[in-house]
Order: sequence, then structure tokens, then C-alpha cells
Amino acid sequence: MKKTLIVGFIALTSILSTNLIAQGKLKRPKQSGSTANATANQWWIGVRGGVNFSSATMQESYSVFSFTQSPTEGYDEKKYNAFTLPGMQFGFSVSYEFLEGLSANVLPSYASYRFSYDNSFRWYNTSNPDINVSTFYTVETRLQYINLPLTFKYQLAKGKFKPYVQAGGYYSFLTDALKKVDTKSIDKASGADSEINETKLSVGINNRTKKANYGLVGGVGFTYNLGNARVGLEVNYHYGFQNLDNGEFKYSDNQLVTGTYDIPDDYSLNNLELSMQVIIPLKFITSKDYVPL
Amino acid sequence: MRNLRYTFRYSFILFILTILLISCGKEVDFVPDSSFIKIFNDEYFESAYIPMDIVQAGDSGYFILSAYDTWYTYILRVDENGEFMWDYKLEDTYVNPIKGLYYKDNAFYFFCMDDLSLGTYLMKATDQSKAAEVEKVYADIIYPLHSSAVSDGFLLESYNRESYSTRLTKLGADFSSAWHEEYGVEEDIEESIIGHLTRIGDRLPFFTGQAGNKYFLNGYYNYSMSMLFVNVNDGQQTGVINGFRDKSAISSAQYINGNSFALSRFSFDENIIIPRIDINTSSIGISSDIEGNEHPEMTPNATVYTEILNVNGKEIILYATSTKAGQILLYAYDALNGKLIGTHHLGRINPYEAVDFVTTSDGGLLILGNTFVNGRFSRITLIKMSEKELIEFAY
Repeated sequence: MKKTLIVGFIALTSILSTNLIAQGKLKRPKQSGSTANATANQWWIGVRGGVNFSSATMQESYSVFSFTQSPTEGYDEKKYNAFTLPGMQFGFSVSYEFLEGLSANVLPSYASYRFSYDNSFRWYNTSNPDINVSTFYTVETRLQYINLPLTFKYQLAKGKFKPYVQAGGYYSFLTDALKKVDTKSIDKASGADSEINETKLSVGINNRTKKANYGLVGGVGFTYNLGNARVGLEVNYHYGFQNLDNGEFKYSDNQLVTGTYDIPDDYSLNNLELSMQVIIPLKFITSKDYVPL
Repeated sequence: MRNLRYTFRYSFILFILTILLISCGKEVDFVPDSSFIKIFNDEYFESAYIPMDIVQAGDSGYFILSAYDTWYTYILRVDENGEFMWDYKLEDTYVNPIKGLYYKDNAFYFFCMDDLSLGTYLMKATDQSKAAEVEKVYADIIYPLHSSAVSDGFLLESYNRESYSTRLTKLGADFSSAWHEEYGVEEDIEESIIGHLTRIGDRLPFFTGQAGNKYFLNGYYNYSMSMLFVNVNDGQQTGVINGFRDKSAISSAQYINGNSFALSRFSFDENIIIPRIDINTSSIGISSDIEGNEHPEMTPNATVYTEILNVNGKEIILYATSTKAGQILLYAYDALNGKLIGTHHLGRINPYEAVDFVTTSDGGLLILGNTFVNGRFSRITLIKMSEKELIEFAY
């Protein structure tokens, strides 16, 4: 919480200071009156939100098991499910259009990301392999972050409908992390021939997840003029660089490690975000071309 | 245009500084050999491994001695990260591997028993052979029960079925026999011994060790499981702590200094820990008279392993045992005053049992345990705690 406040304070200071420099201490560029310069030097603020889908990229795999005989193919292998579980994000956008069509954007947001992987283990009677027991684990990770992306946006066309591309970097601060494990088994040794639901487990993994993430972000979108405001839709891809597993606690004993045999891999996180946004200009608008005063 | 550039540059620098300021975290990536939990698994339904002892092989990992399928002998070699290197199941002739595992001149030594003659073998295993071979045969030492290293060699405890006696054999540094002494049980307890060895009966707390100029052994004596103190030169008995049959006895002992010991005992399913007590090794005592702290969380007549450790410069008595809840439980006591410093539970959901532990060359603690994967298949587990984790609970 303290960190979140610090982030908020510094980000706000950054924006306000920049605004002061842009609007006060520094000389305002002359208005040429042309459409080309009309939107330059314009500040925009807005709200944005939407859904996201995540994919974890495994960097190095770990297991609590060390097999003295190779396991059956397909077992003791984490199989990551990419872009399957929806998360959500919402936040603000602060943009400064310093050249016509080119703007710098800070897009602070709260986001929750979800991804999962499956793992399974099997034991069988060597003289009669039909006597066997298989256990299947579905492990879902939920991560919540305060994101601070900084992007540069280039508007591809003029008019009411404005498509654009943007790219930049982001830094994220973890606020919460959780793992949910669903265990199922097929216990043919005990007479079952179908899957039996066993345990459902939820364990906080805040201390097992690194507090920060960073990476690159890029995307496309468009805005549409609606009165003095603009509404828009954009798709961004976040490519994380950081290994999110906090190695210090990788094997620290808890229900996940010795109970469900789940050791987290070293992994980075990628997200595909779909966001809607509404932005308004900070300066008073006098014309339909948003010419600032 | 120049002003705009300043604006942009200012924003960017402030953004980066903000991030750097807040991101000065302490988190690190995983260091493989600092801490780990490993379960040595195979997919065979009928496999059942019962670990016995562990020894560190210099800087190149660990060697584990285990029984499998009740009393057959199995050895397992793992690297410094706890990953499997090689294993070997000895022929069915070699049964009853006993506690006492030694690393010497790049070879591993341990004792086991012939399944027919009941004589004792000294076995030698190396990374080159990836197998164990007979190094020495002690045909006259039957029913080996426990061995330990002492200052100038090794002790080997066994049971003599012909004389109804517990026998202590002193071996030199080259494993040659120096002397032996027998202590009368006064009755035939072979059935209990067989039950212990084959695990169809109760496991009994046989152990040996050195306390200054005395050796001690825990075994059957005078009808009961008793702890005997003997001279180091000839094995002549000087003192005893008598138990009651196999229902009340000392379950572990660690010599501290002077006359001080750290003990644990059980009495009719109750478990008592005595972290520091002075014992006259030339007198006769009764185990159930020794007062200590009762621990109802431990399994009835729990197996306990006790060692004295140096944790960050402080002498600690560490007890490892198993709980009724199916966890490994470590108790750390201050060796100076016997005060409890900390406890640590290991293992969740599935059952875990403590077998042994060793300190590692990097200051960590390696715990050897037995677990039942998926709640049912008996497997060997290794739990390595880093020095930092050890200090957190035992300092």
C-alpha cells in the first residue's frame, strides 16, 4: 500500500511538473492556426478499461520430483495454457500531444492477470499396468498489478476516426498473488474408472512472486470524436522481461510444494489487453478540430 | 521545439527515476543448491523405499542409504542440487542396511546383513562402479543393528542370538575388529529383532555413540531396551539407564560436553524431550525417572534423531521427529541452557516422516525423510534448508 501511494505521488508530481513546464515556465508555441498545429501541445486525460488474456513463458522448469526411472511421456510436465483465462484492467490515461499526431502517454492502471498450467503424475503396477492411479493438477495463477506504462502514440490519419499505433515500456508493481490448484484423479487401483474430484486449494503467493515486473508494450487502436471527447478501442501486447518467480522461496515448504507437488517455474508474463477508453482534452475546446486556446 | 524536447526528456527521466527508486527490491532468482525439496520417485506401484541414512560427498552431492520392500538394500546418489545421479538395488542376499554411512577416500561405506547366515557385510560403493560391493565380511557378527563413527574408528552394535546378548564391536579406522563385548539380555528377544529388521514389528531405537571417554549404546539389556555406558578401551560396562521391556526407553541421545547429554525417551506411547541433563555414566538409572517436556504431538514411541549443530556460531541441539499429523518436526534448543529456541514443521497434506539430518558445507541443513506420495507410495525425500532458513528458526 505504501509503495502504491509513493508510485501515485511521484507519478502525479511527474505529470503536474511536466504540465507546469509545458504550460507555465516554458514558452507556449505560437498558434499557427493551421490544423497541423491545432492539436499539438494538447493534454488529454481519460479513463480506460477492458479485458486481458495472459500467457506465461517458461524460462526454466522445476519439479519436486527427481525420477529414478524416466516417467511415462506426458507426465511430470507442466503444460501451459496460453491466453485462455480472462483478466481485467482499468485505469487512467494522461497524454500529451507534443507534435501533431505524436503523443506521449502515461497509462496507469490496475490489472489482474490469470494463467494456468496442467500437470499430472502416474503410478502403476508393473505386472499389471491396468492397476494404476493418475493424479491431475490444474494450477491457476492470479496476479494483480498496478501498471505504469509509458508509450508513444502515432496517429495514422486525421478526421473523426483516428487509427494509431503505439509502443513503449511499462513497469508494474505487484499488489496481490494467488494460486488455485484443482486436483483430480483416476484411481483404477481402487476401482474407479472415471475422474474423481479431489481437493481444491487456494494459497497466497505474494512472497513467492517478485514485487515488480517490467517489459515492452506495443499496440494498435483508434479513437472516434464524440463531441468534445474521444472514445476509442485499443489492443496492446505486454511483453514481460522479468522472471516473476521469487527464487528465495521457490522450494519453501507449503501446501503447494509438499502437498500438490507444485514448484513454480522461472517464467515471464505476456498479456494481450483489449481496452476501451474515453478521453477529454484538458484545454478548453473552441472548434470541432480541438484547436486549443 | 526545444522546449518540447525538454518537456519530453524531463517526463521520461522522472518516470525512469520513479521506477528505479521503487524497484530497489531484494528479490533474487533461484540458487539451485541453497534450498530444495526433492522426492525420489518412480512410477511403480509396488515400490516402497525406507531411507536410513545420508552422508555428504564432499562438494559433489549426497549419498543415501535406504531399505526397499521391507528389508532389501538400496543406495541412491544425488548431486548437490538434490537431483538424481544414479541408484543401485543390491542383490536379495544383502538385507537389513543399518544406520551408519561413511564417506571416505571418495567411497561410501555401510553395513548390511546376509539374509541366510545373518552375518554382517561392510559394503563399499563408488561413483565409478555405481554399485556396491562387499568390502569385508564379519561372519561372527550377526543381526547388525546400528553403527556410528567414533574418534578412532567405528562402533557396531548387533544381537547375538546364541548367547542372548547385545554385542558391541569396536572397529578401527580401517574397519578391522579391535574388540567386542557382550551385554546379557537374559532372554530370547530374536522375535523382536526380526520384527524390527523386517518392519513387521515395532521399530526399536538402537543407537551407539561416544561421550568423552565412554561409549554408549542403546539396545536390549537385562530384559529391556536400555542405554549402556562402557569403557572406550575394552567395552566394559560402567553404567546403565534401564528401560522397561520395549515399552519405555531412551529414544535418542546426543552427548553435549562434560556429563551433559541431550536425550529423548518414550514411555508407553508418551514422548519426552530432555534437551540438557547431567548423567553419571558410572551409575544405574531408570529412563522413566528422567524428567523432561512431554510432546503429545509426536507419534507414539516416536523415532527421534538428535544432533548438536553450530548455527551461526551458536551451539544448538536439534531434534528431528515425526508428528501425528504426518509432518516432520524440528525442535531447536540452546545447548547451553536447554531452552527451546524454535520449532519448524515440514510437509503438508501428504505424510512426511523424519529419518535423519546433516549439516551441509554451505551452512545449511539437509533433512532426510520418508514420504508417501499421493498419500500412499513410500518414497525418499530430501529437504535442504539454506543457512538463512536455518538461522530463522534455530538461532
